Amino acid sequence: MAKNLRIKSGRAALDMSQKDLSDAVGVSRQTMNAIEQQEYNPTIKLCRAICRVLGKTLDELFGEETDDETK
Amino acid sequence: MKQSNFDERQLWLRGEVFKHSLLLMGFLLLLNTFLIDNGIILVEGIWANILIISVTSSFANIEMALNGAINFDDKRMTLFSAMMGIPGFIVLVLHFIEGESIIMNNQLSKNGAFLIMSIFFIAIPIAYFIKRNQYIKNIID
Repeated sequence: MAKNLRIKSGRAALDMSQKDLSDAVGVSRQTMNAIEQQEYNPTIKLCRAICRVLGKTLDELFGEETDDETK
Repeated sequence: MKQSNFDERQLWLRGEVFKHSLLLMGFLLLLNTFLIDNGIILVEGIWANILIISVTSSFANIEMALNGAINFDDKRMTLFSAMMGIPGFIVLVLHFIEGESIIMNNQLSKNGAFLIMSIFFIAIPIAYFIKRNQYIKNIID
């Protein structure tokens, strides 16, 4: 299954666990895990909250994936 | 406005669960009515409707636990799920102590209906604690 590795690498760069990030954006860890596993498409509001915490743009975290990223 | 304890994904999942439960309840009620109309009575007296409500609500709770639409960090939810299993367990134990028949006159008796309800109620904490243990195991990433 495809995974959103950009969120994982974004929080790894800030030394944040899934729990830390989910607490920071106000969702459950199950939801953050589902977003990373691409089992759930978050609303734009939640996407922006994740971007704000990780200091990235929407395009950097949720933009269209290149062929290299999907492999 | 009161803030919800659930996030957007959990609220969406809970909506899906309620939709499934409503469809299941409607289907079971229609099936029961159809069978009664054709002279086939599956469950004694009024217990068919109680059984349908219990089975549907248990199904909803189990689906919510399995889909992660419950906050596993919330201690109240753990207590609630454990409490749901207790009456089911008591009824199951009483059934085996009394040893009454679950089939009477080719129908499921009141005791039989209670036995099925108790099994469904016991399944709620089982589903909850299985998913909660998986959640705790995966907490280190």
